[in-house]
Amino acid sequence: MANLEVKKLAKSYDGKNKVLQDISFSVNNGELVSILGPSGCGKTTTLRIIAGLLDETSGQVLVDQADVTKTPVYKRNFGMVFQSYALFPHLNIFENVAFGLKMRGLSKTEIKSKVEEILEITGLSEFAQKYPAQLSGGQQQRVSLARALVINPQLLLMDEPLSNLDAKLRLKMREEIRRLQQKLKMTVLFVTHDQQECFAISDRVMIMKEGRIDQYDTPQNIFHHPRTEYVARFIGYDNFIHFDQAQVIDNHHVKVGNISFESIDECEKAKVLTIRPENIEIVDQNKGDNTILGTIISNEYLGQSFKYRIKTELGEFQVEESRKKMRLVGEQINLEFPAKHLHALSE
Amino acid sequence: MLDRKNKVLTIVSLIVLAILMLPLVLVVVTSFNTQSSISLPIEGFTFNWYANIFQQPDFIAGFESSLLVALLASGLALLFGIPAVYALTRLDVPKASWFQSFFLSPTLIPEIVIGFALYQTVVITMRIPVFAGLIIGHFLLCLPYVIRLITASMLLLDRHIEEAGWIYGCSPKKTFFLLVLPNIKTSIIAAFMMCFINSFNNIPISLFMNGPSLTMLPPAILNYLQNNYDPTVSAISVLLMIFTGLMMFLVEKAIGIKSLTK
Repeated sequence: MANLEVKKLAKSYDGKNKVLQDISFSVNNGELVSILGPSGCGKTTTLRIIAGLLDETSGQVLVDQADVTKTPVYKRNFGMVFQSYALFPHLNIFENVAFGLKMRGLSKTEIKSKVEEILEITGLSEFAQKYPAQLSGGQQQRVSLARALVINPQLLLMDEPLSNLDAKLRLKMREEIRRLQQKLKMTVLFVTHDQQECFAISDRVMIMKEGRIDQYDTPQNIFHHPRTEYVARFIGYDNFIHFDQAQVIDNHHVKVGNISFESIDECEKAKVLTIRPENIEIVDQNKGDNTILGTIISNEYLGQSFKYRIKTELGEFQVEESRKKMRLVGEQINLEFPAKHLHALSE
Repeated sequence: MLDRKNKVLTIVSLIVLAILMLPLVLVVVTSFNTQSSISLPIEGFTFNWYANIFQQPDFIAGFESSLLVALLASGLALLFGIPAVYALTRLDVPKASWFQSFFLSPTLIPEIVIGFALYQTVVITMRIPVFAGLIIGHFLLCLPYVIRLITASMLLLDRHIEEAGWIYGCSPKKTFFLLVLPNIKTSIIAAFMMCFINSFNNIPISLFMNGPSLTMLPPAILNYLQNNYDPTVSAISVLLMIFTGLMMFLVEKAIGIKSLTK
């Protein structure tokens, strides 16, 4: 496996609208990196350019410091797993997995031993003589993975590999992918729109917005320190308080309306305060700072907790509370935003 | 309720089938008649009319040229049609839908008009030899079948399959032969069948493009019928039915066996 470096990648189909701009990042040897974003953010385009399936408008792709930007797709030594599996319908599982080795001109005995080994690792040995149409979705995706692994690729690219599977299988497959990735020390670039999925298996996560990288960091850092409102929204920070520079009191204090808020983050260059629904506390007494009075306008039962929408003078907030009894719509309550959970965002 | 519906459906289907098959059965029956006109009921049983087919040089020559033209025209249609379909479904061809309609247009124009137009341009104006003219005409007849049938199966074939081929080290050209062709094989054979049968049985285009040196089988039969109303025509019709049926059976069996091994 190898490391990947992408430099100033840009893509435009018509010369005006930029589908991708200024994409620069690197993936270390043996690292699993996810690209996360809603559809149309450019994540699949990025992956396809790296694969060589799509031409870049400008920029470079380097693998182990070697420029592969102009190398045709069939001469790059990558593996790829597609959302639709893309198995060869007229070949059996053994032949599907052997395809890449055959193209590389390996001898029959070499092919046989390598394919059998990888089928063993992925638990597919019993299906060797079956055809793709005879396998379930999960099994097909595992064949697709085996076909990629057997060529010992420098880089494994995965384009929403779990999106066609049902929820339970998805969990199982993502654990399996992570296990194999760590066992074989693979460098993987994984495209997904599922936040939970990518946080669970990635060493680092890249969040894309409108053809740009918005934040590239470890899952923990992104979760606790989202850089922008866009990232925060994407990972479940549902509450936002916007302010301008005139409302900043000092580096950790902001006064919005009549309420002053304290944040653990620096507020001087920030524009937005944000907090997760489960970090807001419903308190009996209004202590003034970091506290706001509101009225419940809707309630929802989530199993572990209740979720409320609360109307206040600073707009609506969403709050999750674990409690035996559900609060009723119309009830007046005080919301407290603990400073240690109140983050300041610059965009 | 469902049973009754099924019964009605079965009866209607049988009636339709009977209406379709009855004339064919009558043709078969009359081909063995000893009487020298095509009539019912038959008076005696004979194979003479079958023997008579082989006494007609027009039939023998017609069969040979019809077979040759059908094979060549179908082959050409596949040769041009498959790359055209590939381009239209896989490459970014501007105005692809216009091309698609253009390729299918021969089905919209009456064949007799195509025959006449070809006669005017190819034979009269351009003075292209009769045989080449026939091939061109039948090629036009066949192309829409190739385009339509193969487009359908290309659209069903996941394009990521080709991409996977490239990823694993197969050049685009090789990918087409190794991964695309085997997966559209069935529709290629079906298209060939449709082309062959339509070309072989075609009258309007062959009628115009027939030359003094070249006879096609269907016009030859028509010609014979105008001069002699005897059961030879019934007999050759029976042979043609058997020939076409046999072809379909063989192809079906060829595809059937292959798909069984999957």
